[in-house]
Amino acid sequence: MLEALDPQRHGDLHLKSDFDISSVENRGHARLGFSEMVNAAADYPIIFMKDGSSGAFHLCALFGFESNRSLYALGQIWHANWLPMDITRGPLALVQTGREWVVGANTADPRLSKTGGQALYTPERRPSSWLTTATARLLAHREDLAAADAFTGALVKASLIAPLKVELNLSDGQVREITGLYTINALAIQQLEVSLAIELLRNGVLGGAFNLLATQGQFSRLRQLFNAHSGPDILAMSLRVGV
Amino acid sequence: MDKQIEHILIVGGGSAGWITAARIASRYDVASNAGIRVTLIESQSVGTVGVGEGTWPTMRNTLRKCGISETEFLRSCDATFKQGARFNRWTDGSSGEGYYHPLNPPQGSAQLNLSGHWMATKAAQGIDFANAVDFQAALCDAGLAPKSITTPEYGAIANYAYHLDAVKFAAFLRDHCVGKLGVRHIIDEVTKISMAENGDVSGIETNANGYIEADMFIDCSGFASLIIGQAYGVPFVECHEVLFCDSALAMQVPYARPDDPIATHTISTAQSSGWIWDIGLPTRKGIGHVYSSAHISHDQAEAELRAYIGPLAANLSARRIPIRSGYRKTIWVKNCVAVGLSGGFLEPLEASALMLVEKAVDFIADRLPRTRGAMHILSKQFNISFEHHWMRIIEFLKLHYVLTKREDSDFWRDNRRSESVPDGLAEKLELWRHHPPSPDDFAHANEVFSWPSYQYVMHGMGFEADYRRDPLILAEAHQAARWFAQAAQMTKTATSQLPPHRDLIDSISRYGLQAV
Repeated sequence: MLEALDPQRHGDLHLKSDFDISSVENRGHARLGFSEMVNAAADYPIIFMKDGSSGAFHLCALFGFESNRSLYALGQIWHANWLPMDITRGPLALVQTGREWVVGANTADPRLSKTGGQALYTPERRPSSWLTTATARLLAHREDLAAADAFTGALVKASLIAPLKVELNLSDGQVREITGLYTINALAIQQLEVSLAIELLRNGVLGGAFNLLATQGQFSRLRQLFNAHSGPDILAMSLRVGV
Repeated sequence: MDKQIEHILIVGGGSAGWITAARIASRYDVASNAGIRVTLIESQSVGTVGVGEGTWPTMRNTLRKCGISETEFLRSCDATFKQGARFNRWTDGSSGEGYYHPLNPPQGSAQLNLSGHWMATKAAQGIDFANAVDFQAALCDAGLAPKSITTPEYGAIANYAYHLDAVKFAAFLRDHCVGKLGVRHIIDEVTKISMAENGDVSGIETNANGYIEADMFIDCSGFASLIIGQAYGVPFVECHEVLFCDSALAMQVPYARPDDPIATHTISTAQSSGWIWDIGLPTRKGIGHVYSSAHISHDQAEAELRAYIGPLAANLSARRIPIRSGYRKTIWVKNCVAVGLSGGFLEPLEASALMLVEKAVDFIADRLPRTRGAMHILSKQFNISFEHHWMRIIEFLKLHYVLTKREDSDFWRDNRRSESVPDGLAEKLELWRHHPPSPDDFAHANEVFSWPSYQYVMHGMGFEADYRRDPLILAEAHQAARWFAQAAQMTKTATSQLPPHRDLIDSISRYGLQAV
């Protein structure tokens, strides 16, 4: 349960901040901030997915073809160079209390305990320097997520987002269609009104769009990882935009 | 040289007038195309009748074709999702009985007919037809929406239409037509219809805007039927001998609590001499009683309506609306076509009014005569098609009455009299005692009520037929079992994943739906 951290109640908590693959192997994707796109592009397909409560598009790094399984987790190793903040923040997150955002945590997470790892508070019940740094990173990430939402909003307004259907032909004869993914319609970019295209170019939206489009090649990486896991192989994979 | 059609004048606003204007203006890009002009004239003094607050699923396509955002439509028109209708107490009048006519066709209906298979297996297990062949009835029972917040605009998990506030709908369409589609809007009184020597309408005289000429006229003047009825004197084909209801009483009823669940289907409850509609909008319900004044007095009808609503009706007044069931024999005459009430009206048992507007406008917008000369042939096609639709709708509405076993009033007994049943329906019912309804029973390619609709009503009302000895039952048993299993699986999935109807309406109001 996510709750605001309180020095009185949580003063003796410690967090094991080392990367623990068991905490991410059941993640199918991670939400990205706008500035994270550059790093994420080197490892993951970047797509949009809809938020279950608002229907809003979120910018995401895709880890596989199932909502609860990462193909990057293989043999106790995460097969990528870089991890999104949505993963590295661990059980910590910002929580809104009134108008203010404060640091909170999923207190049921096994990485939190009274022994071992980084102390969240000093013996005097003041935030530790580790927690202060982590909080600053969370606040910066929040702004980065807002920038990603602004980027996504501009794309929605310009009608540039389109469904992406991925079809997998498996070696056991199954054909699987992956839905719920969205990308940028490159053809629609070409058909933009000149004035809108210039506006989107100047405010960085088109730059981000081209970065995102370039990551479609990372679907081959997903295929490679899928085939490295046990089970049927992907014999053929097709991506269709706007269907 | 044959005269080009350049100026279209729509006489009358309301839903019919504005849907017509929006579809034509959008189809021909009137806002930026100088080739076609669309003008709509409506009287300040004539209010919107608000025929029915229910649509068909076709409305989704109509709105999309008009370039309307579904989110804006839902927010502006107090609209909700409608997944069909539940008919309570129509069969024997007892308080627990009822059945659904959902908008989803039976699973697998393109491959096989499940009527006989249902009788052979599911009916014996006590599973009604609608629940055996599809998941939508279960959604209605549970008050769940036909889609989720992540489903794009106009996309669906279960087929759906809308319930809406008709007055707000007309105003919303007006703003869209005038603000975005380039439709010219005139508020004025029509004082005279001027005719040319060849019998065409040449123009209209108005109080403040003088004489307005046009090449084609769309009569959306409502029950007044200014051009088709009054100027051309096209006879009205009464169907009172078949459909007895001639009056309606309507009330707008608030919810007991603002967060009460919103029904996701029309609830139609049979009364002693008619039936009550009950439609859920976000902030109120639209409830009304349709009845035959030959069988019940207006006061008694109002008492039945108030009894249905309960204490909430205490301080509400009912509006009485006369119903003249029937249609104009010809609704496209010369260069004028009637759309909406000016062409005819039937009781709103299956919400056919707005659907017929859409059907007429689809024809007009998609096949807009390029010249006056082409109009003769197109109008002939249109009139044949529409007379067919009117007759088939009357038959389908009558089906609900003719299958009743109610004995509690003359209204229901009279409805079963053979002389009140159209020949076409009587003939089909005779056939369907031995053969289930099939696509071949409906010759028209775009039949408004086709065989799945008949299946839902007939099996819902316990029509006495037995298809279990049909040789196809054995031959197709395996395939049928698969479709029944699919319906059961989809019921399980959909009921566990879709949100309550009100929750979705609230989410759309707050966040909106995505376009894709």
